[in-house]
Amino acid sequence: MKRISILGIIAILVLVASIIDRFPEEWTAFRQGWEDGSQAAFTEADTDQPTMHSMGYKRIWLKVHRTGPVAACDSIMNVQEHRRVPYEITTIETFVRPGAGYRMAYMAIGFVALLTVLAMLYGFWCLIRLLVDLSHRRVLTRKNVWRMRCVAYSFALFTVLELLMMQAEGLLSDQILLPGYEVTGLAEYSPNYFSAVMLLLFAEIFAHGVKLQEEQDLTI
Amino acid sequence: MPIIVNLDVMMAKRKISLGELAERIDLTPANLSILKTGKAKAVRFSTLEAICKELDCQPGDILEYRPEESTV
Repeated sequence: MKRISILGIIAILVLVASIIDRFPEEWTAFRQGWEDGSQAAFTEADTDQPTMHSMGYKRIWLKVHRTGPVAACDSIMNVQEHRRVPYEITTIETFVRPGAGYRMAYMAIGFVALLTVLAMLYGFWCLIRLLVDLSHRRVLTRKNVWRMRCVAYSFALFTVLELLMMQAEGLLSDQILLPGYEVTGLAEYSPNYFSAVMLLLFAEIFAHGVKLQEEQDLTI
Repeated sequence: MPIIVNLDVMMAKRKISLGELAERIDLTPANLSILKTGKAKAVRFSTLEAICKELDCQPGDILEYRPEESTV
């Protein structure tokens, strides 16, 4: 029990540290998305030219893989060695024009996204409460079963959302042609199916454990 | 639950209180109360043995099987 309590405290600390660590990156992404949305109806301030978003384009991040040999131009200077060394692009950020089909799919996915955001917020809250209970050595309780299930199902819903977004945006990646490279997928999404299934499995194992504990407690 | 615990009947016959019986068989009154009220999920043989020894009875005097009536 002491080990669980210590691990619960460590888990809280790691969670807080990871949030702090990722906050600048996530905040930057949020701001970029916000600016992309706000630029949809505006023009560039200095050139008075229409922005990509105002022309109906959408920013997209793609994973690419080099198909041909490294050409002389695909090299950069290693200043320490004073020689040119090859480099390879693995991710590009570019713009595509979504069609009517994508827009309709996006509207449907938007509903799932709203549900997912609410579920994830509640799941995060449940995770905090669960870790606090573990740190106080309250492990096998009915409330913790509910919390574990909320965490697991909210993460599974998030994985499903990522899968839907990948399917919708995967259609747009066909618009991009980069000489010497092939587009291998979307860089923005990486659904972790294994983690989602394992979380669901552990939640049900936990529930079974609580049931056994209750039977044990009521065995006279 | 189909298994009925008639511990209170035997305790009344032997004129022994819950607390006294609990003390004699080394159980807490709370646990014995769980058994008496039929909330227990299971009973250990060692507990059953101790109760039968103290109340001078058979397990069948304490435990009764009454099948549940199916509703139509």
